[in-house]
Amino acid sequence: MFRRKNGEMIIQIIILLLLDIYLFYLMMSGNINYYVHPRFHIGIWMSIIILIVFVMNLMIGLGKPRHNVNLKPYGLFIIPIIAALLIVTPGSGGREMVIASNKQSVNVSVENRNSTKDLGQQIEDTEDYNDNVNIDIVDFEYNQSDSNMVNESEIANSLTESEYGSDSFNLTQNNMNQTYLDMSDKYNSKIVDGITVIEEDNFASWYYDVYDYLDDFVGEKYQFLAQVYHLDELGENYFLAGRYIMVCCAADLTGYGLVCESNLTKDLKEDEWILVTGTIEEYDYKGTKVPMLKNVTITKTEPPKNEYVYYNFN
Amino acid sequence: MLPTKSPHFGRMEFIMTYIDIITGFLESGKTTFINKLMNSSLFDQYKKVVLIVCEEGISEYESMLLEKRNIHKVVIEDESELNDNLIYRIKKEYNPDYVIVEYNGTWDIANLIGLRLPFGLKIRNILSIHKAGTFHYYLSNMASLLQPHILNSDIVLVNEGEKLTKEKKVKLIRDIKNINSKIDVSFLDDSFNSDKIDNYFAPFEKYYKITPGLISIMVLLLVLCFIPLPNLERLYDFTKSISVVFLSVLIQAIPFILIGAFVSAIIQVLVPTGWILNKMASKNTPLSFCIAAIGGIFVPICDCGLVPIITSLLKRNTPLPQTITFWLTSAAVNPIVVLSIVYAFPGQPKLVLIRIFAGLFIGLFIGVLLKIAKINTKDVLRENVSITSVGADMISIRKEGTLGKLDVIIQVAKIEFFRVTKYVIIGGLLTALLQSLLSQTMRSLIATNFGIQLLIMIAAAILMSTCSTSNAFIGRSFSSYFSSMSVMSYIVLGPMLDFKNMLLLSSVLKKGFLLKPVFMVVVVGYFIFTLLAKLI
Repeated sequence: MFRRKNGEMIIQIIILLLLDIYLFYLMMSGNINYYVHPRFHIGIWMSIIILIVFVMNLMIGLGKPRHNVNLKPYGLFIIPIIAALLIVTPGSGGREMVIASNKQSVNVSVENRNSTKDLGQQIEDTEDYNDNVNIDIVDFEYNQSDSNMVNESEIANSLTESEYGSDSFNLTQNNMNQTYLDMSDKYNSKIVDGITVIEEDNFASWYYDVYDYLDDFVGEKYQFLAQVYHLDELGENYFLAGRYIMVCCAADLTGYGLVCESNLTKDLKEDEWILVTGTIEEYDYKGTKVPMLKNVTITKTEPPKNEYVYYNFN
Repeated sequence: MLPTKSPHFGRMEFIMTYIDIITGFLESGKTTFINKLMNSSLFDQYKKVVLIVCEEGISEYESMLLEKRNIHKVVIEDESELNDNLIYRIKKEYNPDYVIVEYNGTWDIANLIGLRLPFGLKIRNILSIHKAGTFHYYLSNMASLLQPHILNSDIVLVNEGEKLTKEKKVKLIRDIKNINSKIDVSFLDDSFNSDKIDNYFAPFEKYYKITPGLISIMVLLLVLCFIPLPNLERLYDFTKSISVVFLSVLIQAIPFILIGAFVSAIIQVLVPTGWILNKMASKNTPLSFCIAAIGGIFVPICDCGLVPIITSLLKRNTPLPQTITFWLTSAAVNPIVVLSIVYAFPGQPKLVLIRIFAGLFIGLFIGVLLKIAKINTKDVLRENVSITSVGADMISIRKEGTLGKLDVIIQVAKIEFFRVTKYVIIGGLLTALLQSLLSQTMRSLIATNFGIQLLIMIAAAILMSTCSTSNAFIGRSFSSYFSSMSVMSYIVLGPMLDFKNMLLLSSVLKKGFLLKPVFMVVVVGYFIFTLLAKLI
């Protein structure tokens, strides 16, 4: 017969090891970004190490045997294990997207969306967003046939060429602490042929600023990567182009979209990834002034490495 | 052969020889109990019994009885005689069908449980016997000696229970359950052959029980079978979205829980009792509140990491009002949280000031109120918090010096980690559920009256707070439907009232008491934000 061991400690070791392996897996696979803001990465690496220290410490004490061990409280730990096993591919599909800071904005939750699965699959074989905004992986392009705007698609073409072919764009080190008379100056770090490119790291703060200082942004031309969201009440030629923004963890994940005017709206699929370019205009949404993108050029693109954007305190 | 009421386990009878252990201090009534046991019909089934006696008390075993029941007495006088060889020798010499041990209450019980037993022998029950009159004295003064014996027992038998009042009996049962909730407690009086004790000597009865957990799992599976497929898919999607939120709350809490667990362990192991705030409290009351409040502001730890620190402070007898002030201010105002509001509401420095002011004011005000109410820390702490949380047996001091201290800190931190994580799991799950169920409803509640708006936002603070950092941004999403001051009440009061944190605190504080500061925060918060709305 074997010597009796400490049942409680064995259960603790199993729980700690499972938790450790799960955290390690999330960190290595990058899936951690679906759950928490990247600023927690250091904390999670630290936790992985401490949990291992706990396990090693428990190993030393394993020899002290126990009788009548109460394992019931540890039953609770089954819940996170089940939850972790349940989720194969976390993703934003099926979530709602809203128009920020709007007095009467209505959330529309869309339930019958099936794109979650293929989004998840695509994520695995896509590389970084910056490598993707390349002309050869663009499926096809829509040309906005608005009379005011002539050569939108040419601009989009030249944008991608100039961005990767030459150093013609203006890149200045942006000091975030300075105050701006015109808030739109804050995002002028990357301008290509008159179009300001909004990168992933400052999408969230740009989005909030566009709503808060709309007057400063009217007339400016922007380009950003976004997901399509159809808001029925906007009408046929409108859709929302936005991203899911995370502040702390998935509990506060919210999709925020910018109203876009385009007669190609019905050709766009829900949750589809697009590179959208357009000019900021005012739009009257149920009696409130909200920003809108006009003269929109849409380029279908592959999903980026991180589906979400993160609000950065900088 | 063995006492069994079940013929189904017949085959096992011939293989297993059970060992029952009766433990307890000198003169607690072990020998009397065993004598009664041997006299009872329970012993009818045994042909050859070995009685191992580790302590010779005042009562003696009647040699007539031993002879009649064919019981061989083996006396052990020194702890070192208790080794693997002993049991092998007994097995070889007597080949008993039952072994009963009268164990010495001052010896380490682990030495007995840890013995390598020969094939066919198994420890079945550990019973510990105590005198009602001296139990509490031993528990508080000889915890390191007594607690392991109780911790490992299946049942605690209390002698002379008739001397206790009913309340004292209840307290005694609660204290034992605090050590290990699985332990049965029974008062020994003349009705010795009670069914409860009988069951321990014929334990197969236990396995016939259908537990409530088993029934609920069966019902759940049955219900799942009858749900139509499309609904099942929707159910899966719903569960999945809840799981993502739940896991994210848990994952982002883990680093903070660990920091909190280590700070709490260091406070418990290294800092002498009550050092931190006690010093201030005895000298200068107003100053100590200011120190608590300012300390709270500058501790850059999120709310879930704070709870273990608060609990360890309370366990170390820091005065309750100051600790509550520290807790409320650090939950509502800390460097990270202030930064979050600066970015969630750009260009509105007024709101930052309001947050700091309101957080400080509420924290100080409620601390002073509690001070005036003269609530004693000991009265509001859950019974035996200090004994149950870090029991002497759970922490084994293995080394001396710095390395030994580090070892103890790690052990305490691990215990704290498991304790707090349990509550975070429950809290996170409820948060995730409420978040997905209520966020739609909350936004549809459009009220024009400020007072009603404020009440809705305070309710949201209790039910829908995730983390003090994200509160500012969730608050922002409410700002289109609610006035800015009611949204501020949600942001400030959220970390103070969040039921997840309340659940965590309820592990040290009595629930009845905990409702008081919660109620005070709601009332004070309501008035201060109404006032602010009028002024600004």
